[in-house]
Amino acid sequence: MTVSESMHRSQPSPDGPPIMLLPTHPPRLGPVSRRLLLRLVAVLCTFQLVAAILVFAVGGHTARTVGLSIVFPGGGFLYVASPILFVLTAVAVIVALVLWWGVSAHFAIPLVWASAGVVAVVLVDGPRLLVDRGTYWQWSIPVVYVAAAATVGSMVWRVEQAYRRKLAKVPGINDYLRTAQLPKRLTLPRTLDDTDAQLLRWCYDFAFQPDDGLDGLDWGEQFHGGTQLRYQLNSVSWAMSLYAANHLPNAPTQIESALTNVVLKHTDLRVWRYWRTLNILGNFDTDPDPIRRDNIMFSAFLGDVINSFEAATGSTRFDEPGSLTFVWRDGRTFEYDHHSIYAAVKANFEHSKLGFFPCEPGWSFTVCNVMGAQALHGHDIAHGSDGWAQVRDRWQHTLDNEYSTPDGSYAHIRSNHVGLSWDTGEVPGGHYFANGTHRFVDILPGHARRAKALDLCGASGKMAALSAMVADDRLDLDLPAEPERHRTRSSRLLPWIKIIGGARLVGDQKLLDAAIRSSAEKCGTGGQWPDRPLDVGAAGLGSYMLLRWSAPLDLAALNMRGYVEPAGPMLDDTSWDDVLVTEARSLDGVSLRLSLRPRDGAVHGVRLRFAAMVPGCPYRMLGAGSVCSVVADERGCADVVIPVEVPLDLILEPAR
Amino acid sequence: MFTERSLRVRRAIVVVGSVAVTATLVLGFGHRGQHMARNLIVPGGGLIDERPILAVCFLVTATVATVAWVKWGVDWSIVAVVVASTVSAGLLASPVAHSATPQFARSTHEFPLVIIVAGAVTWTRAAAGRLPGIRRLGRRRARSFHGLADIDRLSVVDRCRCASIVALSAPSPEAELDRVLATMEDSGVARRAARIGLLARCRRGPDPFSIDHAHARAALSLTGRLPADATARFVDQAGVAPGGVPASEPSWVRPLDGTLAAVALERAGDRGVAQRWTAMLTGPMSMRRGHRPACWWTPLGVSAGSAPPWEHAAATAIARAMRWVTDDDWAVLRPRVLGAAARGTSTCHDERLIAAGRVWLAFIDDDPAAGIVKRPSVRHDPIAVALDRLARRLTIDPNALCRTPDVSEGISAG
Repeated sequence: MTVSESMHRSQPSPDGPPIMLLPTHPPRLGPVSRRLLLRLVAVLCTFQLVAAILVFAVGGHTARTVGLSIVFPGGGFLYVASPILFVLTAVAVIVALVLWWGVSAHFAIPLVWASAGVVAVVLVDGPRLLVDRGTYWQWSIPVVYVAAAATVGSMVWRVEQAYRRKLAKVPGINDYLRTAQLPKRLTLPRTLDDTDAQLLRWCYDFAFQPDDGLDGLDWGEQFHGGTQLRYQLNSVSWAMSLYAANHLPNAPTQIESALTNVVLKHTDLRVWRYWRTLNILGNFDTDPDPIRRDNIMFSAFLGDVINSFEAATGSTRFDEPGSLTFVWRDGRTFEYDHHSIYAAVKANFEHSKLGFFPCEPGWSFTVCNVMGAQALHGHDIAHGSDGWAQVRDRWQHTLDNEYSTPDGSYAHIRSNHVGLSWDTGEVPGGHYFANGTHRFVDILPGHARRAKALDLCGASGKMAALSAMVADDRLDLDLPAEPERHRTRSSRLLPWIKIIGGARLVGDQKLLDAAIRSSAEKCGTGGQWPDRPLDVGAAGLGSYMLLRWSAPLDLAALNMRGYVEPAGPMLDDTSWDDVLVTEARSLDGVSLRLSLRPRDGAVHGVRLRFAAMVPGCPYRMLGAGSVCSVVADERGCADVVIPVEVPLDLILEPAR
Repeated sequence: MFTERSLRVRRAIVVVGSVAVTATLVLGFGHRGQHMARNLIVPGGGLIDERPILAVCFLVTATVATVAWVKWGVDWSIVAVVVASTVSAGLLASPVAHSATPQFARSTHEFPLVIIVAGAVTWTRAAAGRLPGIRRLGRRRARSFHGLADIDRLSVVDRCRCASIVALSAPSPEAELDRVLATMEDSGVARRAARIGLLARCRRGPDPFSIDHAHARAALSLTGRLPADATARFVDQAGVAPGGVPASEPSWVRPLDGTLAAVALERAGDRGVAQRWTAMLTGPMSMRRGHRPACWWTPLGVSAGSAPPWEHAAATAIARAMRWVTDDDWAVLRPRVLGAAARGTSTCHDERLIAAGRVWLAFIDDDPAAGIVKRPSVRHDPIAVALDRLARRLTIDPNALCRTPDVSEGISAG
């Protein structure tokens, strides 16, 4: 019986469907992982058998050197009395281990292992350092075997300990889940302030820089270090999509154009050329196409970005064939669009034996595969396809059986080749209850509820303590700067992002508002493009904007809703370069709330062209202490010219 | 303009003559003759056994002479080195055979010396440019240019090319125009022409542009700085020049310089230049295996090397604007232009190629390519900026270069 089949549900909670309980007897490994691991063990055992024959049956210095080199990397060096080379081999194995994970160099450890053996054999009759030629350390035979056994034993012991520790928690966790109450998502729209305007302006400046400009982002290596341009672009795109949907549904012109530019920046060679290196090292494949094979960290994220873009703007620009063309440095082109990216993600899911497909070749990350599922689900919502339904059962089976651990958390990473997982240091403990921008809400709602309940278990107390410190709508904390993920700088905003995220998680509106307000006050830099208005790196800034602008819709809600044509009057055109439109939405489908502010200085006559008004209907514009009247023409359009010298909050509504 | 037939006769004479001289030396002068013959193939090669230091000196001198020949048209230098090394071998080589039979260097006879040396120099330069540190320095230098404002930082040849293209992309802002014109008045342009004239052909005289120097004369003509009598001489010489246009440096016709010169000549009233240059572009300088030659050597009508992609693209794009070539080049240029657009504008060659691609796209209906090529910001290299301006002009009016400019168009004599 699989974990999925053995899952059972608690009693319905008062707020909604019941929360799934954890299986009480989860297996240590899923079937695919077990098979991969057994294959690895079989290979290692075969080599050990050969090694034992060489060491104990064949005998002789050369055979023993070869045998001990097989038993443990560099073991032969100990036998030929070269301890320095033994130590160097150990260091090389650690480097190879990092390269295995870092750049998918699956061959690195076997290469080091085999190379050490070859060199050791060469040294059998060669000179020695500090000892006489022809010296052989017979005592190294038991030492090498003990080292090998200790290494394997410690690995198994650590895994088993972690499993048993988590398993012991299951009854308690299930008791908690049976009674857990989930807070409602905070959907109250915020009143936008100066910081929102600064951030929006930064987004526009970022988007409207020259097409080949990536100014404003953090630069560094593109594999794992936290300076990946792709993720920075993703977060800016998502944040702008939320702003478009939540605050500018009735004035989409400028933000749609800006979002288009940001999405197109994903095709910049500097953003995706890392893949060729990984594909060569990990798959021995020289194809630079960033979408076709693996690389879910790019394809799925981009698919999800387009889902959000379409859900926010209704634009079908990226549905056109070839609308996202990736050009390699030799001029080869890889033409994609929303549909073909979706198809590539789906095909990769279907072809993966593990069920999840890799980011870096051979390494499948949970978070990226959650994004892959989101990419399919969002496309289904937007275009009526059923890709997610087709892969969901197998995907969920993989999540629940291959990646889950007894306490309800999921391993961050697993090898598609050997079925191993470990803590890469990228996320605390190498496990999490939920991840991805939607945290299972759209793809597996039941899992989302359980994950939220488990997250609340750790967060509620801390958030309650912080909430108690809110005074005068502020959280007067001086939080120390924290290092960014890429470790090249520290940022004061990072701890605030955690608090804001925590406040959203526990549904504490008071704490959320106070943290948003105080974070801007304490971390504002006053900087303008290309400087950032807050003390944080580009990736952190994206996360911060996401959290600020996640009401009434957050990313999950936006993608589950899809595009909805806005009701009420629309701001069709204005002097976008002179005026910053920070809000344009209709709450009642009849009137329009509009917030404007001068972009660089007072503007004395700004023409506002409205559309989608009731033809022939007189309207009035209220705000800034004056009333302005206008009658919609037969096409439902009208022009108003007003001065924008200070921030203005206006309402356009029918006069009768 | 010489006919292909006459050039073929010349080439045949040279080949037969070379074989005859070599055979005469080998068969008629015994062991010394063999040594002398080896010098005809690799200067210094005949001395390597007996006078290795002298052989190396000749080899180095031959390399320098080859560079001087290719770069400045100093063709006599290579002849001088070959003759000197051959005579030296004749004088210094032992009259009797060595114990080991001397062998000709294998394969070297398959390639003309110029190709070997020029290729080696080019390869070394390109390979060095790809080394991480040097590449970074090169990119930094490329980024330090600020468009046409830095035109005076270009080499004289590139400065002239840039001025010509700016003239074709007119009208330009006044200040920019002044700067471009100032670079043409800079004594460096005339000084280079005078030095090359003296070095390559022992020319002296008040007018360094009296013959050859197509790039400089084209620029002067297109910017209205070439006096009437010089313009008339420019046209007259073009009519009888082997390539249909004056050479860039003595005996070398280069595709971009030739194209710009042809445009200048047509504007100066040379009615036959279009036909002559079209014949060159479809004949000796036609595309082979996706490349057009880097240059054409007039004495024998031999093409050499491959033009850098940007020069290929720029020359043919301007020729396309003049309707001297068809769209065939675009098929091979397209992936190169797209690749440059993907790589970005960190090197001047890529930036120029992107801009030249934009000129091409003024005539080609290729929306996918246009969408890619429009993305990079061309703003550093002056030639690239000038080509970009030209592209914009041609996008608005694809026939802009075909028409004879009216009084209000183009650059006045200032």
